[in-house]
Amino acid sequence: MKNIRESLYLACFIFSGLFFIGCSTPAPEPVPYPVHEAELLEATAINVMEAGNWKASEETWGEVARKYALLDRRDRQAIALHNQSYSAYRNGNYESARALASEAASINLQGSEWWKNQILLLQIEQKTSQESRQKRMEELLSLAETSNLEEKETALWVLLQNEYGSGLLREGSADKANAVIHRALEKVNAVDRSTAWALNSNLAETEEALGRYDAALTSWNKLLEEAKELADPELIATALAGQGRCLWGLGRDYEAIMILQRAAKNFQWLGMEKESSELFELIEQYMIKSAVPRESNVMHIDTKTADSEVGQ
Amino acid sequence: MALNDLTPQLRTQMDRVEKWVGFFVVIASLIALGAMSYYAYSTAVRKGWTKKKVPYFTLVSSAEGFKVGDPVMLMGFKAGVITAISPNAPGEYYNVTVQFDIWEPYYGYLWNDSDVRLKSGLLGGKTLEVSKGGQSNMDIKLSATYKEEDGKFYVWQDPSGDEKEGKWSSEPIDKNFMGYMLFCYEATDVMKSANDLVNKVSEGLPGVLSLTNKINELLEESTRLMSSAIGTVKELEPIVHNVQAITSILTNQHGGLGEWAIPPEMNKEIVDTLGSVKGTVQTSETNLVMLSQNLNETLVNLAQITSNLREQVQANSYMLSSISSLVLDLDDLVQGLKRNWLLKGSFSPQTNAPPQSVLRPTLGGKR
Repeated sequence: MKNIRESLYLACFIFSGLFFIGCSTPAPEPVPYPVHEAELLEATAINVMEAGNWKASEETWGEVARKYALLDRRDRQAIALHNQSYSAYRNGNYESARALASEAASINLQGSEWWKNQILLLQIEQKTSQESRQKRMEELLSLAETSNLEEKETALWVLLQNEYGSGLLREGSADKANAVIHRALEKVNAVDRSTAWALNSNLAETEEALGRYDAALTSWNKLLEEAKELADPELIATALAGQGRCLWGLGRDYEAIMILQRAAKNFQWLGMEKESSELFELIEQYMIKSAVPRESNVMHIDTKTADSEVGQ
Repeated sequence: MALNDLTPQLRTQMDRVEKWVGFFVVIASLIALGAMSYYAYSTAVRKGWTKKKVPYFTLVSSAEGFKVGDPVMLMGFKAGVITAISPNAPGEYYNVTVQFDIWEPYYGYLWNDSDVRLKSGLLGGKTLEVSKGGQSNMDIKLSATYKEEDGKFYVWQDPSGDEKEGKWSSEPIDKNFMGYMLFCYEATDVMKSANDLVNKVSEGLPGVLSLTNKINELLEESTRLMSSAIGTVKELEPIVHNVQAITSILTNQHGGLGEWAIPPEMNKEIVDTLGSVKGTVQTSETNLVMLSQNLNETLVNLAQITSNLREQVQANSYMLSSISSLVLDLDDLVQGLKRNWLLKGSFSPQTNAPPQSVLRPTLGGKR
């Protein structure tokens, strides 16, 4: 008993000593208020962007960029400009997005961030100027070749290849696109799941374009499951659209229209009006072609199922 | 159990204990006796029993607030105590005699020009305060009130009747001696006056309020009058202009309309009448200016009141700043705890991961 008490006293003594030693640890360097303010705003911008509030995100990233410019933190300013540019791109402000991405690129000059700026510029120019995009793509591919981007920055190289492949697909060179994306998929381990999903979806689209609907449908089914796992409503809607197109290609008109309507509704609820209206036009065309009564189809829409998809 | 029944060892032990008990009792008794003696001595000192003392008395109008044993003060020191308070005969001018002793060495300060003043306490009690003498410019000879010779006290006798100078008493004072009389200045009781004042103010307050209400009404009326007066003045403005025009024409010396159409007498009368009209208008204008000036002063006073309010608010801001500093101190404390190796685990770790440039791959060639 006595030993236990002594041990307890000793333990208390040691802990008290350690506690007071701990208290005397020197204080960390205080963060200057303007830096702290910029960091807080940056955290807010990230949260807003993750929530998909692109309007607020564009404004907040603009403010962050301005604050970092005043603090002469060029690297962080470039990141803020890039993200502002991406937000503007999502808002449909392509010219503004292009200017911001160019400014970010002019700050970075080189390195992975510069590559990201360039890939974003490719995406923006896809909406604005195909010529510029073509030219930029050629330059970037050449530069990637010479700088051995595939080995040094594999993830960025995969992204670049994805852009290249999707561009080819858009131009109608499905076989070339298929080859490019196949090659990029060899390095899929270097990228995250979302990028891998994008590559696979583009590959599925090339399969569609090449008329291999069975293979494409299998891919889209798989992609839909993955999208549900990723809990990304945009990817779910994209996968549904792909499924619908493939089903139409396979002659399963009724199922195709049902699924396409679900996809269109999902895009609508996500606020992606352009994608939604494109799908509705497609549905209209299919309906005209198959002479399926429009009203009857609309009446059979399983809205609950559609809701649950977005909810996921 | 009888002591004889105990064993020799126990008896020896008991004897020793008894000795200690006896010793303790003696010591305790001595301490108690000492304490009592000290208490008695300190009481005697406090009450002045050990000191030489001489008697005085004064005459006051009321015994209210006095009691026997109350201190008598001199220059802020307790110089003596009241020994007796007795009412005077009904025919006498003063109502009450207050007798008091003054201890040594304080009676040395009391001369025949010394006096007594009453000081009122907050709770209604009164204190006698005697003043130091020997420094005034009295006509009579200044002298100490008592002198001590061979352990006996002789009192100073101020001149009376035809005597020009005072003198020391031929016989020393005895126990029956009432004391040397000091004149008492019964200054106005400040508390009483304050109470009276408050009562009067309280009584008068409704009147003041009604007065302010009347002033308010007057101001409202004045404002109304002024607004209507302004209207009237505006209405009068063209008339005045016309009057001026007419008078200028009429007063035009040579070839004027007045001289030409109106007989000279009538012309003069008209001019005088119109002049008085102008004067009336000017007087009204002066009154209006005065009224507006008074209103302006009222507004200035109002502004002053609001500025005082603002000062109050500003004073409160100090309190706010104190609260703010308290919060900052608390934050410092928490920051300090965060640095402690033992406790820092309790706080969530900071995520300082730098932000990334967001880039999502393009989805499909259709879009």
